[in-house]
Amino acid sequence: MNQVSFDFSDCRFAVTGASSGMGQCVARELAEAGAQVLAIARREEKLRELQKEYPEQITIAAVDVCNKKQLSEAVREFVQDKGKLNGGIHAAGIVGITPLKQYDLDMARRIMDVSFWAGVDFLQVCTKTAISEKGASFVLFSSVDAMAGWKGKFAYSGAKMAVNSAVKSIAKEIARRSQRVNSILPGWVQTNMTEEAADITDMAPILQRELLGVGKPEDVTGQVLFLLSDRASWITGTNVVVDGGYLA
Amino acid sequence: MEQKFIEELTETIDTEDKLAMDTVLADLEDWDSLSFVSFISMANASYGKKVAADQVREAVTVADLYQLVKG
Repeated sequence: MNQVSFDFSDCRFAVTGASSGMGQCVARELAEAGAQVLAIARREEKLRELQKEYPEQITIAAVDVCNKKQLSEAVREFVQDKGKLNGGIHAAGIVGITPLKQYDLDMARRIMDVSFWAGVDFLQVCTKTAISEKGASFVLFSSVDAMAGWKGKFAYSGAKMAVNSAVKSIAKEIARRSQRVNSILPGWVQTNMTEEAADITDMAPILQRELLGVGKPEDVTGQVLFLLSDRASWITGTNVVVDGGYLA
Repeated sequence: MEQKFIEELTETIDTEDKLAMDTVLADLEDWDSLSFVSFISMANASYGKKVAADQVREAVTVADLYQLVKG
């Protein structure tokens, strides 16, 4: 039993990247805390597995977050069925190592599309008056890589820093309805995405920086749930680091 | 055409108020500087019209905005 627990009963959230890693963990914990959750990701079978855990609370939408039309339709359908959103989490992201010398343009652009542009579209769709409640809270996933670079990760770092900057501007646009948006910067957390990156990365210096060891998704999601909650109602437009000491 | 314009304007300025052609813009809480810029963008994207800020500033009602994009 955790010392802090959340009560999101009678709340509704949309979560992208919900089929794995931190997105999945957020979706699960929100459902656990009583919320209705729209779990969005490309892989339907993974979403179905998640839904089986909380069939009453998790609605799934197998769409690519980069397809704004599909994303918008999925959110609208969920809102029609369950009610307006109390917030949303953009956790979809891909990591790619591509060095400057001969970088893979498609990969670099895809990284930016998924982390940044899909995040912006997600916010555009979800912050509309018809879609979300006053005071709704949104969290976009950034990364410590926005603050400290690694060889071959300029595209990833750039995309994540773009997220950090965008939330500051967007926070000012959505504050009129007391809505909030923040980014979260996790350190090295064990997920499928980081496992792929670990295959082609020298892990020793990364692990050395993780003062509290490699993280688990739930080491980060507590902060995400807090930012979504009413206890964080005075927090907006900021970049929250949860990194096990990586940037210390 | 008018109905479609009203729907699109409602979406653009993101208001829960029910808009009509004779709605006075100044009465709308959501008609702010962001909506103003968003309208110029909507005029360009949906109607292919380059609308100047001064023209929007002079508009008093929804019908005045419609005049800027129609035709």
